[in-house]
Amino acid sequence: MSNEDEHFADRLRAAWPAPKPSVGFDAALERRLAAPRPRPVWAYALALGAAAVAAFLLLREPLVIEVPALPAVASLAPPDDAFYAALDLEAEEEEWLPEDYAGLAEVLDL
Amino acid sequence: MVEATPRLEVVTREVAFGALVASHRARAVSLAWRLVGGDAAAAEDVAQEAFVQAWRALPSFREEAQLSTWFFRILVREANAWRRRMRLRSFWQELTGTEPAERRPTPDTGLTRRITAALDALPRGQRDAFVLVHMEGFSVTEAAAVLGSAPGTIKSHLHRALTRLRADLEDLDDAGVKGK
Repeated sequence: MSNEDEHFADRLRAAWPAPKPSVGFDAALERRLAAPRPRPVWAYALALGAAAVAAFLLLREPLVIEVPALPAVASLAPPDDAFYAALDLEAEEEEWLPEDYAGLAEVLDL
Repeated sequence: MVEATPRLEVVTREVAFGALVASHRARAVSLAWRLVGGDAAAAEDVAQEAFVQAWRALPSFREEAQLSTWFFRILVREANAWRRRMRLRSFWQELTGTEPAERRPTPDTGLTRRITAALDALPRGQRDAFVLVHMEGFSVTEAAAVLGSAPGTIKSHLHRALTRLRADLEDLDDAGVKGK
């Protein structure tokens, strides 16, 4: 830094003197040190966000899920013959032949 | 005996902090006053907030730097945060068309305002470096540690700031201040 620069800085400093701390500075500082620590900003943001989500969930239109109506249990009647006929579930009785019995006897070693 | 170490730490912390406040209070207010542009109330507010933050962060101070350097780093950061808040506030007031809050009158109406305006016009790095070194008497090395920059960067900032300020305040000559 040149001498001219130094002189300029000196003049600027002299022309712009800074104040000293005020009389109440220490007392104010002690009060601030004793005050409880403020809650951080992110905590407020989090609380605000949670409140907004809760309000949205509470105030929006209720969610309706359509479930097909089921017949009442009491109204169910036992199936009739027509039901089985429709399903073609009528069992045909099988006729057992003597050779079937013989084969079975062989298998069972009777 | 188990509780002796933490209690000793607390006592040491209180003693160290008390010494820090006692020895750096005046310089802290002075530095803050210059960084916030000559507002005395704002300077005290910024200095106190820096002390409060230093007190809260003192347990995490790792002694990698001097306590004073560490504290002034907090102070400069706090002053810059104050300036940002003021800029935002004035931007909002312009946007909404509300009247800006009246700034406290400074003792010298002409010169102080011009010096403040000239410093305001500097980029942040140049302003911080100039105020620390040429106004508050920090060495280039100390200013580099406070601002977290290399000494070469600080020297470059100082050169540019001086060139610009000398151009803006060229009437600040040996015979006194013209146009005051």
